[in-house]
Amino acid sequence: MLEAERSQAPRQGERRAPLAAVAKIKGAQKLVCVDRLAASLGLAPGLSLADARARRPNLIAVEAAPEEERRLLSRVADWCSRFTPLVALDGADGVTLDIAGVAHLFSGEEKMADEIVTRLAARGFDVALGLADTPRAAWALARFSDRRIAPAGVAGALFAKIFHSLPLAALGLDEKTVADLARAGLRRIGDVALRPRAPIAARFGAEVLNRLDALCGLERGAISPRFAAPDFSAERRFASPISRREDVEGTIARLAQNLVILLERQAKGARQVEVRLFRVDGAVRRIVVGASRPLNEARTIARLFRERLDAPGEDEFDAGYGIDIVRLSCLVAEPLAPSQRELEQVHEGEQERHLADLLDRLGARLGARRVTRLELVDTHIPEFVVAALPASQGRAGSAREARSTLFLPQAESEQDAAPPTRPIRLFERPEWIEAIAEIPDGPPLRFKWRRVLHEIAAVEGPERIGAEWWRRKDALTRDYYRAEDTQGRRFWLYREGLYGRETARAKWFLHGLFA
Amino acid sequence: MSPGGKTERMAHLRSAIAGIEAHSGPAPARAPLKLSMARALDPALGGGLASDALHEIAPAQAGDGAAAMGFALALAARFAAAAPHVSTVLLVSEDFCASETGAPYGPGLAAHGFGLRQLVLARAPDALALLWAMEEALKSGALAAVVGEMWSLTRHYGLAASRRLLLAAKAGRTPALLVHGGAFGRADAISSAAETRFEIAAAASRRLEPAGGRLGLPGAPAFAARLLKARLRPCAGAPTRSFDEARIIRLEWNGVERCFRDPTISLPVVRASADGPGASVARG
Repeated sequence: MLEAERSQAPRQGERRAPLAAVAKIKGAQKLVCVDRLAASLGLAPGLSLADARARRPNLIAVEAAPEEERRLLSRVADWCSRFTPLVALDGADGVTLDIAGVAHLFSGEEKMADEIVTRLAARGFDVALGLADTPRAAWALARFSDRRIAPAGVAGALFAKIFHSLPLAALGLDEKTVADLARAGLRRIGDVALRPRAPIAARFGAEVLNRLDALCGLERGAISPRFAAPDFSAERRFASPISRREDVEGTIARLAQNLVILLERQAKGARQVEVRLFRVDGAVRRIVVGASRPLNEARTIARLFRERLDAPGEDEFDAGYGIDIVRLSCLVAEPLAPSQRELEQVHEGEQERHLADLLDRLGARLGARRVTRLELVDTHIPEFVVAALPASQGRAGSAREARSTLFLPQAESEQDAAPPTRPIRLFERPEWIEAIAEIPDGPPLRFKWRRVLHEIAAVEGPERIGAEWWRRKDALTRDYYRAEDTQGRRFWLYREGLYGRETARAKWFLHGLFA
Repeated sequence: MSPGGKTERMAHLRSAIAGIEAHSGPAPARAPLKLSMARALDPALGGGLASDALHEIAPAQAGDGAAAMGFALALAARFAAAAPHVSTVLLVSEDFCASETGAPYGPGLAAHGFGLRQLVLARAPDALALLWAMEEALKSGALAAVVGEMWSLTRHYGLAASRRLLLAAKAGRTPALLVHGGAFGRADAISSAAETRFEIAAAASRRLEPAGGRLGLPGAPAFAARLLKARLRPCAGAPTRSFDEARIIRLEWNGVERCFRDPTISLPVVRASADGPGASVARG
């Protein structure tokens, strides 16, 4: 476990004055964060700004920007995922990395800690780092100790030496408990650890001992990482960064081959794949593509990413000053369906696969929400009757299924050639029209839409569609009419509100167009 | 049974054989499959519409956009009914079309001859993305038909772009139907490599008996189609003069049986006069 703390001020080398961030707390301007220089001059968080100014007139005070800090911290956390997939944010100013089984890749814990500190220092961050067996111990080291690393499996005398001298605040207890303990003369961790447990628990609550156990590793403490560790992952690091798109695509294609080998061992296919491009300037690009069937071909996976990198917009390829790590991970894997044997089925299965691949490609390029299939919804309000679901999300129905589940035609096949009752185009927002009817609740005679007058030659209706009063109180009933004008154009109009009951002057709208 | 039932069945059998051959060995090159559309239309098309080519549809006037789309969807429904192994139809629209003339509406499309599960709708932000999506879809060969709806007849669409679509359609053996929603009245001016081009106007439907009111009830979708271009006319050599640009063919679509109903009762075709309200919009 490893704890890296961010200092408030990047690039402090050029400055000779202490720096502090201030925020308004209970009506007074107080320091919330100080840099190393300020700390060495005796300024500490919690001091009021006026006092601090009195002590150090050259103090530079900046307004604390918690939102911005949080964004910065999550960028740092993303950057840290180059070391391990399990990265968690720790409060407002820390990042926790689970480096179990990773350190050897960076030639040991000591070297890894050095690398993190130097790399972050190069980006202008002053890091306080702690590395220990448990998250709590690492946290305590980073914040309250001069020592950086507690060796693995440390216990007994050495553990006592490292941790027992730390203040009780290093247990992460709330201020009130710490104050209570201090009143009883308990100030260091050792004071609590070496005393009988029962009286402490009885007097100060079980939380104190829980924290102590978490510190010692008697209790399992887990971090909650920002992103779950993928089951399958392949990555490539470059000594000198790459920046051409072709190189990145080629790398992804090669990584896809490695990933597919990993997947094949478990007879699985990838449903969701992610690429992370770590740029040398610290930015991390994350591209996720989904597939509508488990993929186990490297070519298909690589192709999906090519579409995404090709597509204009936010995902447009931008290598900045170069990319030094490319990581491909499979976020969701599913068992591959057993291949079908029969001749005909092979053919149909192939078509299905082609279709699924096509939809994935379209979704990758145009955006998954732009490629949709329609699902019926349980309502009778015309605009909500069908929902558009991303086509790659659900499994595509097989060709046979699709043929058997026809929507309206079969239901109507008895009445020969009954004209369709629903338009082929529907306006997202019904368009207001001026319509004239013979009587207020009768069918329209003529109407004006987009400044053109339409004389109605044939009309059918009304089809009354009531509002869903259990959802919205104020919605009005609609009377729909199918109307054809003298030029043969067919429209779907409605009058909103029942004349005399819901409204005195009903408004007319044009909602759709028939073929 | 639909009037085109026999040809349809033949087409079905032919492609079933093709499917088997594709697995057992190389099949000899064949003439493109033509699907019969309507008795009134087929002679001019030389037997039907080729199922591996690009067909263009343009509305005659500003208000005929829905009719043009309806006609294209009718053709797609016929292709989908005749396709042997695939039944999915992709409908790609440019974003602007949805805001201008409404988005494709599921229940209406179902009544027009599609199953809801059969349809995949896609929205393209601009004409370039639309052409890309169509080409990609055609090439995959996994669809029964690809219907594209383009608003802007801009520099992106021309001989080269349409040729690409045509080649993609040939490669994937999938019919491509491209609706030029915004090119009303300018169908003659389009230059492209499309195999056929239709100009579609809305036509008065066959009225149904009124239930009690003064006006009749609107009937099934009806179109007034004008065939502007047919690149592959009857190759048999017979000098048929059935292809006539000025001729207007009235068609009525039956979404239940998915076929065009041949005009047994001839009604005067309603064509908008030049000074009609539609014209004023085109000017205004």
